[in-house]
Amino acid sequence: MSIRRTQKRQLISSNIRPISAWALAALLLVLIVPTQAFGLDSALVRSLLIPGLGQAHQGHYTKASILAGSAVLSGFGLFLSQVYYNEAVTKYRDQQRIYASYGVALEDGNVVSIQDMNLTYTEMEAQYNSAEDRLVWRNAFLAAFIATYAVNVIDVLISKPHKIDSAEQLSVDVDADGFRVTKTFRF
Amino acid sequence: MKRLIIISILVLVACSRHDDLPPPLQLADPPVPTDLRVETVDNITFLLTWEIADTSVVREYWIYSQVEILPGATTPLERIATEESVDTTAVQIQTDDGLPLPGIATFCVSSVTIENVEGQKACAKAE
Repeated sequence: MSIRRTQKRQLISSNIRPISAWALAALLLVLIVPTQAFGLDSALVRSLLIPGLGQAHQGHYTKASILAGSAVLSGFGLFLSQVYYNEAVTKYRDQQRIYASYGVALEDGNVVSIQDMNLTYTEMEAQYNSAEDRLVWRNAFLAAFIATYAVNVIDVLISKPHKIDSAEQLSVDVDADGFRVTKTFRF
Repeated sequence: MKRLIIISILVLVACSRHDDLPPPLQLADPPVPTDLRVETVDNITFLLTWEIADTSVVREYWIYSQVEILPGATTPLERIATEESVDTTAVQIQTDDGLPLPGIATFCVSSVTIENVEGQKACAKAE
């Protein structure tokens, strides 16, 4: 039980590092980007913190939903793919250590079996290929997350807040049969 | 410009990558003994003979034995002797207690190179 707890702790701490880096990057962006940019300071700050929030603040609810959903999906995918990637890297590094120990044993004058060395190298190669495959997925989710974030920031900078015409909101049509009240919702 | 550098560093930190696959250790392949034969001289003495293609990289030979007490039930493979003369391809082995009855002995020979690498074992049952 204690070994599993230690392994779990190590897995979580190794994943928190990249997440912390991103959180720190987001915080620095918020601190160093001027909040008065283009007069949309409130919307920009909101978008920097949470993708889609700035768009919601501007009244562009469809874009806000898409950007927020995309950020959640890519962020979750990034976290999962990072966990699996770290797992593969751990196994690869274990085999690397074993293989390296054969070199040390030989240098110390100990006899090493060629079969054991070859088996270890084959296993190390398999774990390396697994790590490479998982890295592709991790980078894909990372690119998607960065793209979502970038689109989110650029969009909030170039978009104008949606002005709702009061005349469009509510209208009443009267005819011989009666009257119709129309309420308009925009997303 | 400073902001760009800070953000780039943070992105690089987040995008860590594993090490490249190291190349295999450059070692001479240990030659495998071929045509291994085991002749039973008596219950405690066996004569092992084999062929070896290249003795230039060989430092010594390791000899193992294993006994099949019952079908499917064997003792662990144990190293019982070392032959340090690399040109020798015939060795007489004397076991301490002899074979348990009924028992079929299997002997294996492997070469160990001057780089301390043990090659694949060649095995044969006593005739």
